[in-house]
Amino acid sequence: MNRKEFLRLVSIGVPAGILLPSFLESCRKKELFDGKTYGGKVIIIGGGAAGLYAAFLLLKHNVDVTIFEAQGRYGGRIFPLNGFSDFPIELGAEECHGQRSIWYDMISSTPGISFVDTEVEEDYIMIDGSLKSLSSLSSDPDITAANNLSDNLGTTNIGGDITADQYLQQNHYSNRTHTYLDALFGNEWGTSNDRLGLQGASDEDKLWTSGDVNFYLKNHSFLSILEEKMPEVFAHIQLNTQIQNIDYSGSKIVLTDQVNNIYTADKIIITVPLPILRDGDITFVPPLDSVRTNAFSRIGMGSGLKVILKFSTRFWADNCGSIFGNGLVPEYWAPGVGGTSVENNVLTAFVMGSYAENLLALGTGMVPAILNDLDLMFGGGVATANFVASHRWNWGMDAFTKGAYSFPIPGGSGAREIIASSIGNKIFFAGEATHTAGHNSTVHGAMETGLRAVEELFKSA
Amino acid sequence: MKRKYSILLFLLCSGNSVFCQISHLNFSASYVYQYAPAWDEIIQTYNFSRSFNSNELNLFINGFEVGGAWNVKIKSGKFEINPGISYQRFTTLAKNNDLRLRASINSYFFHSNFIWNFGQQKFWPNWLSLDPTFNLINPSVRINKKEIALDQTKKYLEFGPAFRLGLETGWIIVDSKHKSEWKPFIRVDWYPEAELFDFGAALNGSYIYNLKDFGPVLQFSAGVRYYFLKESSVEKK
Ligand SMILES: Cc1cc2nc3c(=O)[nH]c(=O)nc-3n(C[C@H](O)[C@H](O)[C@H](O)COP(=O)(O)OP(=O)(O)OC[C@H]3O[C@@H](n4cnc5c(N)ncnc54)[C@H](O)[C@@H]3O)c2cc1C
Repeated sequence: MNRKEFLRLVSIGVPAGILLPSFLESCRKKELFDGKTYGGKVIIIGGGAAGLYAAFLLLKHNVDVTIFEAQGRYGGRIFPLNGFSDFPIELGAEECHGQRSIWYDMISSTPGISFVDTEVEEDYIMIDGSLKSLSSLSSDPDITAANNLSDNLGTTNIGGDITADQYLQQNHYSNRTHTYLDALFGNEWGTSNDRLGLQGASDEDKLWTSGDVNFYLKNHSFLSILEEKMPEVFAHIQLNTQIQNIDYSGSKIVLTDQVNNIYTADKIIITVPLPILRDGDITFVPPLDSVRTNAFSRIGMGSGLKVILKFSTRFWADNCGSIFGNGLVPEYWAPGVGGTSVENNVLTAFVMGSYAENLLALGTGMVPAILNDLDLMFGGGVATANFVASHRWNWGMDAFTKGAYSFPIPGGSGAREIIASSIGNKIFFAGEATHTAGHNSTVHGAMETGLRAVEELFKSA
Repeated sequence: MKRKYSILLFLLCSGNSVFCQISHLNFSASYVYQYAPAWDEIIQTYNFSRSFNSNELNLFINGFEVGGAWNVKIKSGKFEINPGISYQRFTTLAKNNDLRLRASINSYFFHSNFIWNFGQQKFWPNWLSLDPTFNLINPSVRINKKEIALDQTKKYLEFGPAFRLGLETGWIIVDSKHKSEWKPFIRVDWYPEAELFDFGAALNGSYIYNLKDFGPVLQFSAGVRYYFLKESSVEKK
């Protein structure tokens, strides 16, 4: 071939080369289920993160969907407390865990959003009778051992299906860091070390893929993000509708609520918290098989509360993140970063599992006991003297949640896969406890299960 | 698999000294069209789940490859080997308020490239080559230009080894002063299996949708290779 012939070829080839890539691109679908819809009626039970997000995806594909929510509000375990301070306080989920999740992407697509990275804060710990910054203890062997276990949990050989307490005892972790270890493991996982299955926690940690940095929001509540990013969903929610019976024996699924209203659907997505299913608050016709009902009991979910305390002065450091406590409350933190006035002098006591039960047993003595705990840490009776108000939310007593969030217990291996499996291409399960890849107990994990249920629904249609 | 790669590398490196007769440097650039269903699904899932984004990620369909090689003619001139290295990139960007998410695949190839010349003809191709190639694939996800790490012990997503088999054919255009040669080419490459380590999770944040990071890949390319000719090699023609 000579140059002339080559140039002739080039004059045809170049325009084709410019047009070809965009033509080839337009031949392939950029989105899963592009153009796909489902003609039947879909009902979602539960208006938390999983249910709302599943509805959002279905509505994008023009599916006829209704969410039934038992309470007079939507959001579930996303629940802001407004008016207590000059910024919304989260009674449920507060931190966005990692940067690689639908939830992070949704938050960051909200105009004007401002993240606070928890890594920039300084944490404090009550140890050997005084409050110290964690960074000043970087060479303390007991603190280092606790941090190492926390950082490397996924790769640690636990040596058996045992509780965190059993593991810590067997491996002679120091009593000096007892409460700190409870904060790092049990409390963080939504329980206490006497109940947490450390092998399960390690397995979940291994699967964690959304990143290790945690964020909270400066000027928005989590609920306001859902409202802003998925506005079309809220017209499809029916509040105060507690589904009590699901009859899936016929071709249509028949649902009955607390006042015997009857609804029918072709497919349903159940997103209620684990204890609602475990305790049989919803009955099924025909009954769920025993493998599934046993699996409900092989995942933990129980007591957990947040106590929010407001003070007239800020007696903790400005950069204070977490304060690991004395034995009464495993962890406090200062959520007031977003505040704009003195009204933001707020501390949250985050208490799970047996710690929560011990606190609740104090009844009206609970807040004075917490103030006393803070007085011991900060000295001079400063907490009691400056106390203004408190607000508590006990998730264990919330009739439609009955616990904080799901956690692994010994003997629980494989249970999440069972409870996540669908029934007969008609009933799909979502909700944080059904996450099978380590992201349970989080908002983004709950959303991912909503996505999984919608994918299963479309694939079955 | 690892042994096979080492044999390949050995062939690649030893080629020069064993067969060496006339050698010269060449550079190539090509457009690459890719068909990789497993990787498509990762991006399709991202787009499906992020319909709140202001634009969608493109599939990894259109990419480019640039490379350099050292051409060695085997005695008769009928056969050549053209061992070399090349770099290939597919990239796509999603915008999301202030957030820019860029997903890319960067691949680094170590070619052997055995060429069979069947002489100048008018329109039909002048040569055919078989190119078993060892490569390293490095997926990347960047948020606002910052490479993301899935866990703090790993800085970037992992490099993965792969193997592709290429079939290439093309024409030879020699310039009038015989100082250079152009070889427009078309080629098809097949990976029996190629893996984008951690990419599904880096993009979607979870493994729960049974997304696979690995699968077969087919690529079609069209490009041109430019040869710097040595005097001796020109005289041979
Ligand atoms: C104290 C606390 C702190 C947390 N902190 C974080 C955090 O920092 N970061 C994070 O990512 N996650 C956190 N989580 C976890 C996170 O909040 C949950 O994983 C997530 O919100 C669960 O969403 P869901 O849709 O699965 O369940 P839910 O939000 O519980 O939604 C289920 C809904 O079902 C409704 N329902 C129940 N029974 C019925 C019925 N019979 N009929 C109809 N409706 C019914 C309920 O009212 C509820 O609204 C925290 C949770 C708690 C409790």
